[in-house]
Amino acid sequence: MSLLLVIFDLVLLAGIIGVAWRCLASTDLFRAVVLFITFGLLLALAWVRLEAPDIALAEAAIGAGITGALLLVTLERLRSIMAERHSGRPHTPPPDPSGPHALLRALHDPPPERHSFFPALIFALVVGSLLVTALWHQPQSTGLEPVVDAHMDVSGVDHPITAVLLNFRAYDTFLELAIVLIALLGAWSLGRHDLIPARPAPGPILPGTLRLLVPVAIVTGVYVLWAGSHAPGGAFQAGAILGAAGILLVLARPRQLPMAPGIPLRLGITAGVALFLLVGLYGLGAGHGFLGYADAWAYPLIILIEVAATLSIALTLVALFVAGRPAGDDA
Amino acid sequence: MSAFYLAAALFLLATILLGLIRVLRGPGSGDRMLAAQLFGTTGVTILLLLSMALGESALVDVALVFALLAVVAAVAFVRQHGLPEPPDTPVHRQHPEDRGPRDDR
Repeated sequence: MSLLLVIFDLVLLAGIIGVAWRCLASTDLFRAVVLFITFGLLLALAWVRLEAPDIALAEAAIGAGITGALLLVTLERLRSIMAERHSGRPHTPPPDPSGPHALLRALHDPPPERHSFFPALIFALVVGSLLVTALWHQPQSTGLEPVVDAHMDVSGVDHPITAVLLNFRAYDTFLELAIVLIALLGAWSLGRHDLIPARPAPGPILPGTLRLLVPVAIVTGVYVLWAGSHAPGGAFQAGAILGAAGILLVLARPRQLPMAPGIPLRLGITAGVALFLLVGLYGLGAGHGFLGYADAWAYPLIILIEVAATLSIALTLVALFVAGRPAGDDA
Repeated sequence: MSAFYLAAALFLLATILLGLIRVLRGPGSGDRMLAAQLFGTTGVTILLLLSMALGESALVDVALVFALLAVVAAVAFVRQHGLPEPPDTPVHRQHPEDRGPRDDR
């Protein structure tokens, strides 16, 4: 049994390294994207073997659902830009030195190959020695598991990971949510949204799949959010699942849908951070410290924050996928 | 029984690694994408087998999410169908057929 597990781990490790290497070395972008999707799958299995089902869940939702679609659509857009270029149509805007054309040039007119392993060798030596030093100075400890276990009864939830994320180390989670928001602000500051064009459905299968899949995805997202209080799951995973459902709708819609109006969209996107901040300030005022909760209020507050965070993460992921701020928003 | 589950999971993992040949060689985009989709199905099975072998019921949720969301990449791929693809597009240029077999390794 344990021998089988060791063999499984070794095969998995070899697969991960091999796929990562082929993905980076591939000259065909489409092949690299497919390899990256496979890489995500193997990585989720690795997280399972590292006994981190929470991260495996997030990797499954992000890696299987969102990243693959994002890369494929990006590739599609690169190709349509290239097709435009080849058909000789004049570009109405002058080529932007930092725009997608520059990226295309960088991708397709690579600099002449220079066979010098010296920088790579130095880099590998530096990183390797840093890693060895870090391993050398690793403190001998049992980790934080006993400490977390000892305080589970005041956390308000039954799942240690959720207790750490939303109670003991709520500060980190708050800043993570803020980072997600800042990422979207960065994407929005780059330009107006240039929506992926609606396409008529190529056959009856795609709309049928959507009709079946999107409701199931919504139920699963809510289930994963609810499961977070006692089992692997929680706001990030649920938000990723709901976001993937939204991306599915954006991708497969047969005709242009009215976009969400600006103000409610912005409110939804900032709901997680805003609510977290309010709860944190309330804790500060009530004498529990910033982001501290009274024991009796811990469970309802955690659920409230998680629901808002799930909504924000899902909306942010879809908005990041569409890229660019809503049209007609900046007058 | 759990040894049997583990052996089955190991076998399925080996089939994924074998299937990588299809991703690497192609030749068409459809072959590659379909291989990745089949990996997703295999991954769901591996997760379920590991869940039984290791007694971790949470892995069933991971398998559920995988089964549900593997289709998103497929939908993104299907969208590309019908898009004009000039044969000389550099993104598309390097296909295994018009390269020596040495490049593919």
